Order: sequence, then structure tokens, then C-alpha cells
Amino acid sequence: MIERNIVINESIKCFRAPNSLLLLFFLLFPALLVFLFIYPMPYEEFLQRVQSTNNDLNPFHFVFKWFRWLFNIILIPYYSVFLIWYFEIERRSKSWKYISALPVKFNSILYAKILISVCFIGSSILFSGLSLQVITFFLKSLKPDWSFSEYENFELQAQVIGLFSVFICSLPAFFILFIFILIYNKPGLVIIISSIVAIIPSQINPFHLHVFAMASIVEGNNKSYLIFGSIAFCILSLLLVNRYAADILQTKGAQ
Amino acid sequence: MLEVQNISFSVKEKLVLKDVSFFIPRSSIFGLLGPNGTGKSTLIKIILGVLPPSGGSVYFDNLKFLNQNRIEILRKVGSLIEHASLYGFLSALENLEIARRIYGTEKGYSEELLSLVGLQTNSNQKVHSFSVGMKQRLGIALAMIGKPDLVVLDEPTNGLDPKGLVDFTNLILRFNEINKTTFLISSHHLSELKKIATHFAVLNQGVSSKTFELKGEDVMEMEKVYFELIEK
Repeated sequence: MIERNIVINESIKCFRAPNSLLLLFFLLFPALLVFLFIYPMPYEEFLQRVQSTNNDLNPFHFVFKWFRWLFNIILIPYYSVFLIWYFEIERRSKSWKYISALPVKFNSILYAKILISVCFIGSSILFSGLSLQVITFFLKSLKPDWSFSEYENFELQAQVIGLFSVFICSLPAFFILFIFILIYNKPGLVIIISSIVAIIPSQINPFHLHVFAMASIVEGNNKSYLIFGSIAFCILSLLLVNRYAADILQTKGAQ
Repeated sequence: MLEVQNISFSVKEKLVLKDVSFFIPRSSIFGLLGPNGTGKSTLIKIILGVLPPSGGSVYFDNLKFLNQNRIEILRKVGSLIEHASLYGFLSALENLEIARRIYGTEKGYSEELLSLVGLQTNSNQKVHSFSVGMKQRLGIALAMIGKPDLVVLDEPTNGLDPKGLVDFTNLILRFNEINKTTFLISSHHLSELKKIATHFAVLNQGVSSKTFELKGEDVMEMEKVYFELIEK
């Protein structure tokens, strides 16, 4: 279904395009902001805030709470910015016409784009998770008199598994955005919609499956039904892309 | 080589192309001439399979262009639609390599083509710093990367300065002579096409004329048809 050479081409385009590194490391922003928020804080205020966060006085939970809040808000707008940027590569070089006249299957072009996008955002989420480990390490080292050394940090392995489930659960929103931007190419509208979606409370927001998956990292409960539901949605989306790939690319090529 | 047979195309009940027919002989340079807005680009897109026609067929070496054999046919066709589709942040060589991987031509052919189009010294230069003429020469190389039998060029000389125009026409003549590549070039400039084309068809308001061969009385007749169109 996916041709290797098309995937290589897509990866070159994606990783070499201007601002690719900025987008790849964009999800470091939540951890960085949390660090900048906590580091200058007086010890008493820090203790008060930790106490108001949870009953077990674990400062790592406090750090994670803020990271999680920022990450959950930023994720969907980040996906939309990434996809707008990614499709802009073809629009700017006016290459849809050329691509439509290439001797390749229409669906393999779109599948390669999906694969590279998923790898890109997956890496970005992984870096984000690692950045949380890094800032907690720095806080622990730079503030030795704070209570970090009395508690255990989240296990790296558990955190990576947790973030992987967050990533899987965010893929339905990714697919919706991918198909919408591919067909309609209205960047302004997508940014507005995704920003609104980002701030709607999770309890009534069907695009916030990743928020529940994120919560399971702390709560420890397994949200496997969310993961399976998300995978099923992704498979359906791929079938939809396969069915309409020719129509979509012929329309783009004809414009 | 390529036969366009009774092609029709309409958009929202408006007929853009009506029963367009012509035949492009192998190794010829075929000029598709017509004023702006007569459906040349639409016809080119139909020939390349980007747009499905409302009626009629396109035959490539007697093989009807269908969705089932689209890939097989397009392997033998290169294209440059108006401006070359180039990624500005990549070098000339990297742009060619992207296309080379798809066509599966041998490694090293990109460098060979760059040398043929006179861009060997610019091979590692980012394309966004290229002039329009350099981009169009690279566009020709891009169209040639799959060693095609037919190259389709839609208004390729738009935006070229006089020197760029000379370089461009020389390149087409060179590829036609060396590789015996067939060219289909659409343009609204008779004077430019006359320098290189061996055959012509005139397209006006979606209707094609007969095919003229550039020799003897045919030239006079074709010019007469074209100038009558412009006067209308």
C-alpha cells in the first residue's frame, strides 16, 4: 500500500522544510513553562501549592498537574498548526498538479503523508515526555532543600507508556484535522476551531480523549477501551482516505 | 504516439472543450496554440489524467488512458505545468532526486540531467535562490527525469526573459534531437512555437482545428487560421 520511495521523499520534505525543528520540539513548551513557573517560587508558596494539589504532598504530582494542563490545551492546536505547515509545503511549491500526474497510486501519496505526520507528532510527544523528566531532575538538583528527594518521580517507563496511550487517543482528532485541511485548505478556520476545541471542558469534548489517557498516568487505571476505540477510528479514517484519495488529489491537481 | 479523440469537457453545464481531436506523431514537437482561456490547460490536465474528460478518449501508443493503466502510461510521460513544481528549501539535485526515486531511474541520472540543462554548478544551491529561467530549466530536467517518451509542457515560457527563452527552446530542441523525445507544448505565442514546433493544432473556444505540419503551404494556412482567431 505504501511505497518506500514515496515515504523517503515525504520524510525529506517534512524534516527539511523551514521551521521543522521548531515544530518537532514545540511540545517542550509545557515543561519549560512549568519550570519557569516553579523555579523562582519561594519555598513556602511551593509547599502551599503542593498541599493544595494532592494529599500525599508529592511535589512531582504538582509539577505533573501543571504540565498536564498545558499539554492537554496545546495538543489539538499543535496538530492543526503542524498540518497547516505540512500541507503548505505542497501549496507553496504548487506541486499538487505535478504530484497528481506522477506514476504513483493516489492513496500511497496520502498514506505516506499520514505515516510521516504520525511519526513526526509521535516524536514530538515523546520529546515532551522526556522534557518533563528533565525539568523534574533539574528542580531536584537546583532546589535540594525542597521535598523532591523525599518522593519518587514517575517511572520513565510508565510515563512513556502513558504518553503512548495519550498519542494513540489523540489520533482521531489528528485524522479529522488531516482530512479537513486536505480537502478544504482553510488554515484560519482550522486554527480558530482547534483553539475553541482545546478550551472546551473534557467532560463534554469528544476531541479530548487524550485528556483521559493523560489522567490515567497518575491514576494508574487502564483506559484500554479508549485506546481500542481510537485505533478503530484510525482504521476507519484510513479506509475513507483510501476510498477518496483519487477524487481528492484529482481535485487538488485540477485547481 | 498520442491521440486525442473527441475530447469534451464541461464545468457546471458550460462546455469548455468540444470534440477536440488531434494526433501527435512520435519524435515530433507538437505545438498546441490558442489564445488565453480557450481550454489548453484543461486539455493538458485531461491528457495527464489529472482531470477526467466528460467525453472522448486519450490513447498513448494505441493504449486507451484508463484509471487501470494510469501508472503504466504516466511512467512514459513527463510534465511541466506552467511553473515548475519545485521545493525552494531543497537544492536542485535534491528536487530531481525526489522525482528520480519515484520513476526508478538509475542513480547519477539527476547529475547528468543537471549538466544537460546547464545547472551542474548550481546543483547544491537551494532552489529558492534561482532565477525564473533557471527554475524552468530545472523544470525541464524534472520532466525528463523518468526518461519519458512524451513530455507535456503547459505554457512553459511564461515569465521568461529573452535569454531564458532562447535557453529553453534550445533545450527542447536538444532533448528532441538526442533522445527523440516527443514534446507537446501549449502556448499562446505563435512566434515562440514556430521556432521549434514541427506540428501544430489551434484551439479556439474549446474547438480544435486540423493538425498542421510545419512545411510549405501548411505554415501559411496555420498562420491564417491563428490570426483569424485572434482578430475574432
